[in-house]
Amino acid sequence: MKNDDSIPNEQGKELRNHLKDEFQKMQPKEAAPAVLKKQVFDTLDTIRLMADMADLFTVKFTKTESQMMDLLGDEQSDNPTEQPDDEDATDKK
Amino acid sequence: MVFLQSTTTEFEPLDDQNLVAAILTEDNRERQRLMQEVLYDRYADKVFYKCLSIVKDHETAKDLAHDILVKMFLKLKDFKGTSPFYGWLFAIAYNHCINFVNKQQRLRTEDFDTHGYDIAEDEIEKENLELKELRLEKLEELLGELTESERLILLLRYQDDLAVKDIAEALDIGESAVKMRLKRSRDRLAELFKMNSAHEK
Repeated sequence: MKNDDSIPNEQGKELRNHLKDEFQKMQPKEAAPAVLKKQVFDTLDTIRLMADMADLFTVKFTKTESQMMDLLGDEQSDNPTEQPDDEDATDKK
Repeated sequence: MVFLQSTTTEFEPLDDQNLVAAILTEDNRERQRLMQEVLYDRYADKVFYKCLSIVKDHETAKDLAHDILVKMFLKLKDFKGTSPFYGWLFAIAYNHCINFVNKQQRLRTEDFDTHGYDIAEDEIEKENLELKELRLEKLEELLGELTESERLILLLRYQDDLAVKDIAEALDIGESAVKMRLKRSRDRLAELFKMNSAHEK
């Protein structure tokens, strides 16, 4: 690629600074459309709802189920005499 | 008991870093939403304008800004507060816009020969000296005539003052390719400027 070395670096720097100045003068002329705010927050609400649902059916549901199993297990271990009674009855027969 | 209703004005004095921290730690969803609105109001116009300056199409800019702002809220916990929030957000915005432009124009491939274009960063603006006459009003007009990829690279370089190395990183291409694209984009801007000036004369 041809590189014009006859132009001093200073001119290159000057041009860059000039372009930088002009580009940076550009200011927002239009605000974001009002509807954008509603759309952004609607999307966030939907994402949050889906996360809550996923949490409900995975983490919370599983947790509740295992707690129920634990409770049932506890109830059975609180009444250990039930089964031997049945065994006695069979023996008698 | 009387509850004082919160409004966004309550959170407006907070700086970005404290506002983000407050959003992340707030349990009350209503208050959290108000804080999010304050953050949205601070940056939505800037994000939208950045997108519009790259794509030059209202609807596309709106869609891009939507995705960027949603991403901003979803990634808030990744903001470490070590750099300004503006810079962090604009990194997200750039990546999103760059991906969009890449998808549109398949820019990721080295679409022209960059072999041998390995010159010092200070020297890349040596050419197109006629652009020194280019002023804001004309610049805005001519930018609209460039392609999205040409606009993007010029904005990264001159509006956001990124070094060639940083642009290369953002675009995931080599520094030589960045220099070549900058040159091509500037050449095209200069050509349009010349044509426009000749037409006006």
